[in-house]
Amino acid sequence: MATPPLPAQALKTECDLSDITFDTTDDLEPADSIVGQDRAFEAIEFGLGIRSVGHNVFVMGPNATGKHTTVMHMVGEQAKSGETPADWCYVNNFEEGHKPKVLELPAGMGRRLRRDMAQLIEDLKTGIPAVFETEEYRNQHQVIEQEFRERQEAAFEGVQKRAAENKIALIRTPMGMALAPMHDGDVVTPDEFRKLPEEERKEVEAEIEVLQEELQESIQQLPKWDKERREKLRGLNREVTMIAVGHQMAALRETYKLESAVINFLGAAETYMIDNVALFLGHFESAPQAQGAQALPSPMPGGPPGDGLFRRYEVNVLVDNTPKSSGGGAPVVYEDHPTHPNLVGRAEHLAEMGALLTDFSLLRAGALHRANGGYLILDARKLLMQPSAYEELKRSLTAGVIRIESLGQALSIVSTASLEPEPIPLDVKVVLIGERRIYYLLCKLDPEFDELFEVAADFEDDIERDDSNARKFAEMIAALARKNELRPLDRTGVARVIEHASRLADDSEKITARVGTIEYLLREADYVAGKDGQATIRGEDVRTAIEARHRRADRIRERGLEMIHRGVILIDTDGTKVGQINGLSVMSLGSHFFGRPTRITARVRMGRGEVVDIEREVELGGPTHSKGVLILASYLGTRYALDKPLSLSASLVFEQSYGGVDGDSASSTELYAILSALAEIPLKQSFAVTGSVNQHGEVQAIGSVNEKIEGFFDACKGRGLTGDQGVLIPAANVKNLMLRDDVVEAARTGMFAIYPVETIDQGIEILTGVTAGERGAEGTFAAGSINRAVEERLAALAEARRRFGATGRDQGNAGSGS
Amino acid sequence: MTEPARHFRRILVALDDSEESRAAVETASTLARRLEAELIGLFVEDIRFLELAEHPVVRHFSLTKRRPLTPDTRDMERGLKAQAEAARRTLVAAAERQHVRWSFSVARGRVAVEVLSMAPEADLIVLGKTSLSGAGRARLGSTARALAVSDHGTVLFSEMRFIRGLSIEGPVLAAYDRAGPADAVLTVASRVANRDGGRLLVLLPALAKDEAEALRAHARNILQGAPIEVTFHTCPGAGCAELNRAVTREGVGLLVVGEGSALLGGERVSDLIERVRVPVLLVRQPRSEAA
Repeated sequence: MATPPLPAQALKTECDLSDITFDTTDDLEPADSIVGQDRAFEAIEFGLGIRSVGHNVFVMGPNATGKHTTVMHMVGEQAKSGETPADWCYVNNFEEGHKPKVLELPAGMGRRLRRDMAQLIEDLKTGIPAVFETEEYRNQHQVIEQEFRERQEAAFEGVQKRAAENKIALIRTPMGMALAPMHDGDVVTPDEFRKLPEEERKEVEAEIEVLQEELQESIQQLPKWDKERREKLRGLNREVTMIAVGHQMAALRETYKLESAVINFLGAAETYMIDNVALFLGHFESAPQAQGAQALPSPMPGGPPGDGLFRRYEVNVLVDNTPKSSGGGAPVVYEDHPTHPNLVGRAEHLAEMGALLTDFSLLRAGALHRANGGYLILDARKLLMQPSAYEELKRSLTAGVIRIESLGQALSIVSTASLEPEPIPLDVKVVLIGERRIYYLLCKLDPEFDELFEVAADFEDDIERDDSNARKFAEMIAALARKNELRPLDRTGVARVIEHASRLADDSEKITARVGTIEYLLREADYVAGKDGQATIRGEDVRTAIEARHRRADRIRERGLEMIHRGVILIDTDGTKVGQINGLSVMSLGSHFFGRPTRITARVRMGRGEVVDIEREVELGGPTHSKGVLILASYLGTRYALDKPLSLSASLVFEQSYGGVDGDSASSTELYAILSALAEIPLKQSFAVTGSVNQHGEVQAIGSVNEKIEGFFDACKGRGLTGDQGVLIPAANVKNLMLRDDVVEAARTGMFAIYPVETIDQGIEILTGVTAGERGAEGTFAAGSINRAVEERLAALAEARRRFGATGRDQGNAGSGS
Repeated sequence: MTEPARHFRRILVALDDSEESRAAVETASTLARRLEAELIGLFVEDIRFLELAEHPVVRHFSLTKRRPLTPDTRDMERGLKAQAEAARRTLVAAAERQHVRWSFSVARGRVAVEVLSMAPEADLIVLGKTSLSGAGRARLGSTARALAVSDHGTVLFSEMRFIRGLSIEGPVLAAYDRAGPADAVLTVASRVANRDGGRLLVLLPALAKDEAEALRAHARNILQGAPIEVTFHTCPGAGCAELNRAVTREGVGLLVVGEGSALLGGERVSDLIERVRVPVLLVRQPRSEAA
């Protein structure tokens, strides 16, 4: 019984919205979440809810399925009920400047402390000099200086007095001190001295010798006295500074008395201020460095002199979690550029005199800092593309701390002295978003991955197209239209979008889950509607948008069709040929797919049972294609040559194919060509065929059936539809049919036909118009059938081969090729 | 005013490497800013030092070396050049802080002679009170002594403790009578005190009521128009001790006194300069005016 073509209504399942009452999407309640991803939602909810080190979440699925939107929404909701985490600040370590200390403060206190310290320094900049300029300080300073002076004078006075008595002067010279003979209040010149009597000269020399010894004794005391003077002055300065600083510090200590870390910091800062008061007096060039202190950069370019040095008292608020007016909650951070420094923070540098300098105030927070106590969302692919970023993330999560260190430090390729900031404890939930392939690769290649990302949330590619989901999908369309501020869609518009969503799913019983693709379509349809001056987006607008999108990407397909129509690529769409058939293949160009016909030919001759796949021989065929060819060879042997050797040699080729083929969707097509060649019965060239075949001759489902059908339809349409043309598809693919309107219309008018085929016998009958033939009780196929012809041809080949083997030469014509 | 106003366009400051010298530079630069004058620095390479280097019996010592030194003339010259450079840096730093024009020169010779030889180019000479080359107890140096008895119009004897921009704080005290360049004393004092909130104390000798009134009226006439606060005080006695008491009592920042002032009670200016602990600005009757 001949297989009938599919009715037109089977070629596309139109959307029925009769159960939903609305005129436009404005009448619909917009969906608050994405449709059909309940499994993923449950996983995300579980992952966010469980507070455990390893229960971070990997959200996977195809692109444009709304993973980001869903994650951001769900994490945001979860974070609302979370606690606002602490502020984190870095402050100077006054003992070891290269190891900045960290302060954990209640949310909002970091900002206050920074302001208070800045105010303190501003106050002290004027307060300390004021104290040092008081008459009281000056007098005390003068007393100490005077004491030293008097001591020095007293020491020299004895020498000087004795010298004067003996007419010797003690003179300060550029080289130090000098003892010189005097006369009438002036130094005796060398000439005058030489003119003195020898006895007198000797007396002077002797006296100078004695004075010299006395003077040297006094001189030896000077460093000791000077040291005492300096210590006294330092003590005075300390006392005065303590008075100036202590009062201000007391107020701060009272303010922050509950924060022991702040109290410790204030204590260290106060001690340093007292020890280095010169900084406040404007003598910063001579300000001594505390032991182990790292040199802080000098003034910022353009800033007032010395201001850079006061940075050591600043508070660097790394993370400011000051509660917003909208309320608190845990932080949610999405890091779009997850480089190593963007994750764990960085130490910035100032270029000064050709050197790069840094300190605690130049430490900058990374995403882990900002998300600490909350949630960090990252794109897995971006993370993995950044050097060391993934490793550093794992290291931080495993260690439970964030260490700010440069990539050079982390990789131990830089050994210059740098900062070693105190690490910050880390408590964060990381959500990675990526493709399934990345997830499975990480599972396979990284043993630590499983331990850190225990929760996998897998987004569906598509969802069931039932009434319930159709409603939800319509509500989601409404939500997308509102979110994007688009025109509302009328019923035809919504229906057309849902139909397109089915087409994208390549299944009339499914709807794609790629919300992002739908969103783009809505925007484009809105543009079309706007251009037409429409108030709503109609089905017509959606169709135009879809066609325009195809057309934009359609150059290659059109060039291919043109080459067919011009006869460059040989495709017959009418007539009959032995051993020649139209196969269908699909080309993928980015996100654009299209089908096109390809001529497949088969030649047979006597041989040893091999089917030569020419594509494979020249390495243009993939393994799946080779598998299909081997299956059809097996089918031939088991169907037609059970009791004799399969003595043919068949060759198969995709004509004018130079780019390689893969997949087994043409295996049934190839089998038809071989059967035609064996039976020497021509095949109708008005058909194209797709479908894989198993060893039992059953035709199996293939992918991209819609594109394949449309590819042949376009080739026929270009030459003019004859009414005899059509495509044979696996019956299992009927539910995948969501064909273009023009194909459906051609089918409706009988100008094009789609035949669902379950077996090779069904297919060969359609293609040849000859009965396939069943094997009768006597074990042979019915006379006049294709199968009979095939079997007889194979028998003849076997016999010829037997004779050839016996005589060493071919004695029949059964071995000639066809 | 009965006397032509004295303008201080050029202030000469004598420099060496001593703290006294640095104090003098601070004082001079502060005055230069206040009077919008140019600062002229002079460093004198004292030839006596060069002679000392060649002296057969002179012994040299350093506060930083245990053994006596044996410098030759070239060592001494190098030492002087180093001091000159240090002095130049001191001058430049002070001038830049006060935003005043400056120049600097080096001369070789006797300090007093060289300073005095350059004195005609300056309207005011500033130098430290103590010796530029002495050691031991601070006393009026030979250069200061020479200038104290020179005929240069105005000399300011700086005080060492006024350093780091703290100089000439407090009011200006003018010792005023009719002797010598008394009117010039008032003019100079008013100019130095002429700044925001500037105060001038005029110290008058004890006179009969009519004479005192006449002297006050004359002083007011001279000071007329000066934007400063002027108060008159009567000094019960005369002499350095009396003036020093007035300086201490009023917290004076600068004492301006005329050569031959009756308030000196016949004592020498040099004694006064040594006694008071504030800078002393000595105003003399220029020879042409005296004549």
